[in-house]
Amino acid sequence: MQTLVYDTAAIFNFGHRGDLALLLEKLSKGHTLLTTPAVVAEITDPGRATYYKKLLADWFEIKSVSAIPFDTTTLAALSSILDPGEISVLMLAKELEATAVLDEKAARREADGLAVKFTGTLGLLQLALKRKWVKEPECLTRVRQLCDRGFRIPRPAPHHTFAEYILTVQ
Amino acid sequence: MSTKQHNLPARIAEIRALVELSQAQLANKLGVSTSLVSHWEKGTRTPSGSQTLDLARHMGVALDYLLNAEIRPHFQPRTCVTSPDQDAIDRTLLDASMQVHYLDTAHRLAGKAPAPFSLCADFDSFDNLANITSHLRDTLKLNRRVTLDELKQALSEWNIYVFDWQMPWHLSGLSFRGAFSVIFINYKHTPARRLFTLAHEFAHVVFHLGREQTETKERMSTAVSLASCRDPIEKQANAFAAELLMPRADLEKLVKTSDSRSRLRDPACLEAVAQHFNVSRDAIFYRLTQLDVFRWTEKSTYFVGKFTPPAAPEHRVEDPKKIDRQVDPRFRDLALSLHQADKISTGKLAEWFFAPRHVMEEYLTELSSAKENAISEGPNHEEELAAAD
Repeated sequence: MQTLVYDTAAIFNFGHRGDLALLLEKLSKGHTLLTTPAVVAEITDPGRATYYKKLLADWFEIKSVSAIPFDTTTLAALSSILDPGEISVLMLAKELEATAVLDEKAARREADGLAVKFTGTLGLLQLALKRKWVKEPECLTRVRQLCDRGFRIPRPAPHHTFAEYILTVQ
Repeated sequence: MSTKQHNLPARIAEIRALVELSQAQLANKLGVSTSLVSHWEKGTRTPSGSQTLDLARHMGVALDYLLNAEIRPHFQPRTCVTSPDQDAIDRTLLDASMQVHYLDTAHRLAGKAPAPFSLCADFDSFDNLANITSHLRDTLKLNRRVTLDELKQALSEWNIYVFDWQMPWHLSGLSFRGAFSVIFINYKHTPARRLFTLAHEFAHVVFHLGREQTETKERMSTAVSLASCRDPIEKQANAFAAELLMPRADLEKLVKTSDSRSRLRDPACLEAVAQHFNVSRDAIFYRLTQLDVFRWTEKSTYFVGKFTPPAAPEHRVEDPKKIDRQVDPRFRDLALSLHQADKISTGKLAEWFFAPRHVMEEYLTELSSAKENAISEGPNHEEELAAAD
């Protein structure tokens, strides 16, 4: 069973931005879904407090980092460009040899440099499509919805298939 | 980005002093021995990664500030303060120190050097204040009547960053002068009061900061302005702000006849004059006492009722619609350009703006939809080209 460690932006994308709880349900059958206390602390919107309390309780285990896999120099470099949630996700994913779910390019770049495996919301949508959990039009609809609700990715063109769209994003 | 790990011992000691914790108190919070904290501060032992995270958390600072801050101004009131909001005031002073660090970091990440503020003046006497103020007004290209936005703009053109932060009520303003200059004013106050505070803090930057103090021989880099402070440099800053916003010569013209003097005693007239100069009724009242229109003892006649200050705010910025007013525009644009280029994450941007994460997300969503609208509502060049054909 693979472990996925979600960052704040990815939780927002699976939560109020993308309404992808159904996908969390499917993922949870073959994966352990984790997040960190630092990420939970970043989910601050009082208007969505109940919604996220339930989403986190339903699908996520909140796990702290038990050992810091980076030295102070690395921590210093990370802390100047990433927030505490992202740093904690990188640390936990590194410690557990898990996959970090990161939707911020700055965090993905650092994950790459630290040899932390990572994916993102689009990567998990690709997986969902491959496993036939969702159909292609539904995938593209969700991506457009994510764009409308603040996920900073290019909007799929009307003629795009999901595979074509993913190529443009990459 | 390069790191300054070799400075960690000094950083721990300095930030511990900044947050007013003894070695024993910090050790107690961390669950380690006092001698270990002492070793960290001497550099004979190095904290582990998790101890470093705990250090930042228990000292109430961002990890970034603990590990990377090269500029760590100590905002400290010159006089002893007793306020029911003491903890909130201490928190705000620490936030201001972190904001100065974030400004420095933003410039370094962008590969730009922040420009210093170059003006300096001596506050030689209260009698000469009108001349100095007139000179500074001309230098800043300000009119004799100034609005808050005009003064912010003028200071921005002279490389002073201005943050309009939500702060505890008793804290009026803060200023810093170093490699660059920053002023913080209290967004919880009225625009008229904020204008006066901004002028007051500007006086600190021009007259007091970045120079040796006669009494202590120490170089002052920060000033903290609290309500009802009797400090001499606060009096100088108040006098400058009053002269900048309510020039004595203009007021003398206004009160030169006994008829006009008696009309000013009407509260409605006093309010109109305050609005004319964009200042509060309190400020114009105090100014007019200097011209003997009012006596100090009459204050209770004009200012009745008990005021209960609002609760101290939790965040410096809380509303996505107010970010553009509250965060200095030059810093905001620099930070947004770094975010756009994926050099910093959205969470980091929220940290830099001292806004909760969801506020930052809402702000960015509105910003991007405003951009999209601007593009779709822009001129249709294809139609222009077709017409030209």
